[in-house]
Amino acid sequence: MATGTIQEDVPDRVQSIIDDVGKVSETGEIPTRIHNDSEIFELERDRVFGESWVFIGHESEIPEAGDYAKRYIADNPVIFVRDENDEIRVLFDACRHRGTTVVRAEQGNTTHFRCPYHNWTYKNTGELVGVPHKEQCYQELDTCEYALQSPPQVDTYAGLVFACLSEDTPPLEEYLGDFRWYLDIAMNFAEGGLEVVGEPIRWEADTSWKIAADNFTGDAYHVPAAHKSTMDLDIFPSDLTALAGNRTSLDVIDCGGHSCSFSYFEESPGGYPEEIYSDDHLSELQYKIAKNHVSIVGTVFPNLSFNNTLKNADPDNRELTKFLTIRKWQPVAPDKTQIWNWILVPKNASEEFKEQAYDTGITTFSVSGNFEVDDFAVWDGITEAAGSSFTRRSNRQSNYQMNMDEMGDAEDISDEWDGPGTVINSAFEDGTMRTFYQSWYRTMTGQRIDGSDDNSEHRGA
Amino acid sequence: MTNHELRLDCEEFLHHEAELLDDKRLHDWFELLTEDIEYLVPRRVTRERGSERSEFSGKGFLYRDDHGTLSTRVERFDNDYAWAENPPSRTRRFVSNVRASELSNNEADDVAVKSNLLLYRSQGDTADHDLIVGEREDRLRRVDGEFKLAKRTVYLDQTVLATRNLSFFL
Repeated sequence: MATGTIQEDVPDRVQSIIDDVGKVSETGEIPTRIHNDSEIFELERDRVFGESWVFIGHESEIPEAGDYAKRYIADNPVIFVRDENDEIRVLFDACRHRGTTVVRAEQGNTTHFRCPYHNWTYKNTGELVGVPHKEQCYQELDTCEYALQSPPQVDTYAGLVFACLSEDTPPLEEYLGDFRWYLDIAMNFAEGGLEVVGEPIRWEADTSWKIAADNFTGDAYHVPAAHKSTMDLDIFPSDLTALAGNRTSLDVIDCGGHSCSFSYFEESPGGYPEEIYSDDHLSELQYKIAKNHVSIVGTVFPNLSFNNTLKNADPDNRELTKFLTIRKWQPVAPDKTQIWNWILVPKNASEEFKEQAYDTGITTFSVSGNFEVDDFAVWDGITEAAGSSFTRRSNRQSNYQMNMDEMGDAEDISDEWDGPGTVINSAFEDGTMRTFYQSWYRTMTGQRIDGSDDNSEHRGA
Repeated sequence: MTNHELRLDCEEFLHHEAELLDDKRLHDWFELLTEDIEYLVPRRVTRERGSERSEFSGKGFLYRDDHGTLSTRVERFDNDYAWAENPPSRTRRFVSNVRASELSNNEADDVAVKSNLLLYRSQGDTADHDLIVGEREDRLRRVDGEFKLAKRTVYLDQTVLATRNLSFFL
């Protein structure tokens, strides 16, 4: 199922836009056009989503043998299944005969997938075991050659299952690299791990997947603006935000091509029951951040975002509560994204706390979330203007220069910081987003996101 | 009271409620809720016919609110910075197929009401609109001679919602 290296010609206009994005770490600007352009969208479906590790689902969603869920890698339908041998697989959802999808529900449990068209039947391992009238008309067909296909790479980190359509991309462990240090703080802090509650909430918004992924790398700047109402109501109390003086706010602006932002106090602001924590996977510093953070938010390039955050769904009657939201920004069209939202809670927490955490999650960070509904109201405006002829003819640029160079006082503290990556001592800065676009540029030009093969040998240029 | 009369009373309540919501009189709407209100919108899941599991999730929800969280939502919409509803959605709720019955074993004198909801939403400087459709199962309670909403479950007809956010009540 490897797509191989894609060598099609890229129009000069598009290549010029892509190359401009590649200068983002010097200019702090990107061409606004990339947020709504059909040629770029077609190209990134192949290059970004064909060459990157893409999140499929969490192990806890398919706990029993035979459990499956329908998922997508960009426009590719795949089956996320736990087979009869308890092995988790990702299978391309197309019958090997005429190619219709064999999974028609969203979730379920089955020992076999039977194609509805001609009844070719596959075990939940993908193996072809049934071809009707084979003895009459398909005697020479070697069923071993006709298993449901699997992406060339499938792997798991902390219960998160990823797949990659390319065999040339480095393995997941290397792809996530040192960024796991930060992922561990967000999702590897609980005794027994985390589990997904319910099914991912899915909805579609008229925006580019990149705008959402960009925001989740750590746009603290928009919080006091777009989310002011939640601060006024103590859903996200002001003394927890970037405006608070006594919190440490750090942006990990580049860690192997991924980026994140987090802030923490010297004491815990609460959120999880004390007894759920475990330092099995964490250093002393990671453990401290895990306990004392207000949020740790980031994006695993390209379209997996996470936010472990502290919010209050009902400040008069409830307590500030932490939950982990995981996002997949599934590209549907240049100006349309399907949002997938999973809420995860500590597996060993009480049922009461799990419900409290889930309710806080869906009431603040979901399709009806009173924190997040305001983002969705803003993001589609970016796409609208980005697709306009004026944006195109004026080669309009979007600004990602906050706290860059002489713009402000933010400092690179990587040398004295005990974690990996390039780390800046401010949440009010745009380096996390510049890295997202740099990774985008690199995959669009056939390079690895961490820059390890930076030989300036661009495809199609 | 005949079932016909009961249905008319319930319809009157639901039409009044829809008017308050469409007119953005959210605080007046909030007064229609009992203090123990349960407000649920379960996640619908596409399942095979014959699946033993319900299409409607017992664990995944788009809303799972009570009096306090609903109060917070209502208050937030008063805020000028609640961009999701600024400018406000233009909504029109069409409530139909009302079926009402007295709950048996009913200490609280409650009524079970089912209705269909067709919610039209358009917003901003555009001709586009979204349609949100589903069935509602309500529990109405008689309090001082008036109905109040004690429980609502909305069974949506989409598994992937075709609207950018739910910044309103169903």
